[in-house]
Amino acid sequence: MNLFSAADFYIRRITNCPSKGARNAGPETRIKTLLLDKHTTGTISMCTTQTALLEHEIYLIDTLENETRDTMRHLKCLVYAKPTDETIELLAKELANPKYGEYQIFFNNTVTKTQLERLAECDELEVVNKVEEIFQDYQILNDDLFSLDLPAFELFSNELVWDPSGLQKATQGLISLLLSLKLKPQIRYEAGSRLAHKLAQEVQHSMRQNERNLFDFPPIDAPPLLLIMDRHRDPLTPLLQPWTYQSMINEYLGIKRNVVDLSAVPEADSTMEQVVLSSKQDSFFHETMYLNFGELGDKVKQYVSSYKEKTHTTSQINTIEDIKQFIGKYPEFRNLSGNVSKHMAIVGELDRQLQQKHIWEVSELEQNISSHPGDSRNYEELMKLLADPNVDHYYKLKLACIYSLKNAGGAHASEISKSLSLQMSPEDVNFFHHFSSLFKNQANPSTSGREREDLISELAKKFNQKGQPKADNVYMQHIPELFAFLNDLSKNKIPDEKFPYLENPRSKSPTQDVIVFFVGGATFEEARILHQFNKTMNKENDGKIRAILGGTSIVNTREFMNYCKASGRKSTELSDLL
Amino acid sequence: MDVAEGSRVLGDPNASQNTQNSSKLLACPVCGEETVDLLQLNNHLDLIHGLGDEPSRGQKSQKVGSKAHNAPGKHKVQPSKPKFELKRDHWATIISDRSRCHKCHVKLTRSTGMINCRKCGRLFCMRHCKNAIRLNTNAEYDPKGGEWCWCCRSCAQEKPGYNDFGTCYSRTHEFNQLRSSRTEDRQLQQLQLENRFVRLMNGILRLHAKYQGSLLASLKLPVEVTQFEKSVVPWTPDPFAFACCLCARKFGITSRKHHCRLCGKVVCDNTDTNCSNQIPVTSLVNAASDLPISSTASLNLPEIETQVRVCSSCVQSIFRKRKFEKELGMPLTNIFQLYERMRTYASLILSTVASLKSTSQEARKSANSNTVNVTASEESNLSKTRRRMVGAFSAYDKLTKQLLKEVPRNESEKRIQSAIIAQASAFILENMLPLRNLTADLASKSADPEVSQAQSSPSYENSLTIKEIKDYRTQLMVIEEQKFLVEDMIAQATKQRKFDEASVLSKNLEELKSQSDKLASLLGGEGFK
Repeated sequence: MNLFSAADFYIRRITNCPSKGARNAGPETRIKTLLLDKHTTGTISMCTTQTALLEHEIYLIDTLENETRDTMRHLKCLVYAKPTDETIELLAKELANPKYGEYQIFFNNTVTKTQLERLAECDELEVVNKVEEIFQDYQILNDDLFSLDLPAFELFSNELVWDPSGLQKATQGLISLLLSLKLKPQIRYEAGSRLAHKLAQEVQHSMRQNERNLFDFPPIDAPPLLLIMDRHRDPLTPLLQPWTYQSMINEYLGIKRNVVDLSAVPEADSTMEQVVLSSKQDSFFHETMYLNFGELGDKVKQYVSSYKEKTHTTSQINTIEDIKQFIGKYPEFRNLSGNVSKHMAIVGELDRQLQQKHIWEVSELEQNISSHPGDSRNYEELMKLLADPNVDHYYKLKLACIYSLKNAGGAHASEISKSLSLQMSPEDVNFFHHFSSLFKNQANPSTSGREREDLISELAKKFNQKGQPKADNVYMQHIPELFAFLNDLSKNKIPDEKFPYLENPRSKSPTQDVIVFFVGGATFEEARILHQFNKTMNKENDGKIRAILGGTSIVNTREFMNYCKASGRKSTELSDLL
Repeated sequence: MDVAEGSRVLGDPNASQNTQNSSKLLACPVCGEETVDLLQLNNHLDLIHGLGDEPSRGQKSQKVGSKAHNAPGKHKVQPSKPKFELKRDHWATIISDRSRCHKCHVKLTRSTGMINCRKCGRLFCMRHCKNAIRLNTNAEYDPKGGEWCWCCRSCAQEKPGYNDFGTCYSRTHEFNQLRSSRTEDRQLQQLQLENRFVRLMNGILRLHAKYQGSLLASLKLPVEVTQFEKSVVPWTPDPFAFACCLCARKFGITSRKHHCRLCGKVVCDNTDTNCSNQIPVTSLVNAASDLPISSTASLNLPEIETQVRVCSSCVQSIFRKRKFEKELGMPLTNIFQLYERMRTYASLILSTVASLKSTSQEARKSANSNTVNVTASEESNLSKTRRRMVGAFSAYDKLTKQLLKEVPRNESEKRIQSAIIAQASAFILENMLPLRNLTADLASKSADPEVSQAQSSPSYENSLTIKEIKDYRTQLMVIEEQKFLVEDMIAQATKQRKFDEASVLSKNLEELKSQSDKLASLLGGEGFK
């Protein structure tokens, strides 16, 4: 259930494919070229490096979209592409007029027969000697986190209905994930969510269609579980300011395909405009990505001092023995120095933004509103912050939204909107109203189900204290709903009424492998919780349950707000038509 | 909830009483509920968490605490369906104060709990046997019909399909079928076209041969060629053609109609679309040198000026594959050639590094066990490998430099070149280290052996044991004596003029001499003079 091991397997599969060769007795070279399309470039860059590919004798990497590629007749070409119609067309063009001597084609998902026919038709010179489907139509962020990289506003017509193409993309992505891990799961979905239910049905249907040729895994006693959750059911989690390293980078700097763009940072080093952060290759990041900002500071301090120690020892080069040691460690050393300055730059920038945007105050209030909704002081604090000219409008709006979400009765709503309308555009104030209606239907059950929630949070605290001692951190009071589910899961008591089966299984059995999938996007905050769950399971519970988290995308607060805005716009467009 | 329901089939609805009348001693590892002792805990786990199997419960009570505690609820526990009897003879037996958890090696006591993994039978503490597996009565994994039983982590992970990943699905066969269904048709057309092409070329060449040297050539040849061209393929009549059959542009005053001499279709000669072109016969013949075109020996090809109009699709289908294969057969460019050579050196270096690692490990082992022998040969071996590696490295380096100097032909080659160089420098950096270690090893070795040699060489240098040396020495002594005697006898015989005897004796002497020489060489320094 480690996503990276599946990815490594596939990369080996692509790169080490023996050439059938012997078709031509001419001179041959072992140099290979790798052709990617815009989708697979992202997928592959997140699970391997160029150096690793060089070791497989891939000396040229290019994209199918690039039409100015030179003809290199002696090269063997490995194509790794996503079978979209666009890519197939490009590939057909390439085959009709081949630039390389031999082609091996790998698709990251199922190819339809018509697509295959189209390619076969174009391959007049018979340059293709292999066509294979491997299944990695998703991006791997951590070893237990994946994303389909589908932006939310393209997926849905509104918060209840899928866009047909979006539904198809999400289904295909999920199917490829299941195939890459060789899982044939039972599916459960979040009760009451039409989006989740629909996706569950589609996935089930697709699995059944391909039962014979793809999903014929050996029977397993405890069938894996695919749980489809709906982001609209827990809008609070993506609205709150995050505090762990990975999620803060995503919130304040943005991380796309493991690349962090630091070019906007004032006084940035010119060599550091874009840095790569991969949990797979960067061991420091791997260690720290789930730590909160305070712990992170300590870790960075340690890291820097250990680095200094090393530079100190290496600066004393007196004997030949020292030189030898230095040269022996040189690549590692240089790597380390690059890494130190990279993380220093990132952490410095995060700190700067936190100060500048008054995140500390905003976040504390957010957390208080969300975890102590009854507290009357929250309202006073909120009004104070709304009046504060130093706080960004975005955060004010977000605070107002969170408040309205938690205090569904509509108390103070008019005062808040008045305060907002004093400073913001009418659109934003409209958005505030729209937002409360967008999630209204969910707000009610959560108030009535408070008792249960309290019970859960009680248990949650217990669990949290085991894995994570600082549950009483003011900035991390809110506990995502995912936690309650994982808690139930660990006891094997997932409530049927909350997460019904799509098809009731004949016999019920303990679950061992779980994939949690968020329609509408998961957050790094949830990734942290899931990671902790896995860790506790591994350490204290004999590795009984393994879980993986995924989402149609990974959202930060801004992306989620934008999505809400976009869906608001869509509904107003509809009302305009009538 | 769901699992509790499932377990009811195995267990007993009253069993929940067990857990209720408990005082707080042991916490359930799953839900944290507290039970009096292990027996109750086990019952609780079986019933509430659906991991029960009847014999295990019985076994448990025998092993752990049947004397101490007979739970009142236990008697009520009656299976509601045929008893599931798990094989138990593979279970490791518990020896008090001795048995340890197979995983964490903690001493198994009542507080740690003790349990047999139902599958492999090994003993574990309660913490390390929390997985569940479906087993049949023979304790074999049975995913469908088995009953849920406790098992250890390694058994759970050995389940077939548990840690499996990476589905691949080959479509090559399907693709090839689809392709061949198309190519058959295409090949037939191609064959037809090629036949026509050969006929056309042969005819034109024949006409040229006919009029070679003739004065009428310039007058008559074009006419006859045109006539012949029409006989090769029936031309589509002009009135039926309204538009170019390739680019679909309408014919008019500016765009004239042309006939392709190979397919006979009407095409335009627009320079933008390149629908048809006049191509010299010579280049056509040259490009298809593998086709059976009977060029007359007397004919000088380059002198033929006749051009033939062919459409682009015919040219494509006849020459595209030929060109492709010709390009494939062309020699590699310098960069690729250099790379191939670098690669052989790289693999040489890698293999020596690998062998070096194993030998150095052995050397370390032997150094630890303190047997100082054959250091000389080892040393020579080491220095040999070092020489080889240094040679390979310098060759590799030289090739890299050559590669750096090479001017790439195009952008892609440039990128390949820089990638190769990056890879090469990384390679050298990575593999220089073993070489350095080797040098260091060698230096320390060459210092050491001299000392050890000085001590050991007097007695054992020739790898002969003392006993052997003694034996050889006595043999040599005997032979030397015989030699002395024989020499004496020869001297006497020659004195007495008995030359026959002397010659026989001298043969004897020679034999003795060769024997003694052999022994002497065997003894080497150990001999006596």
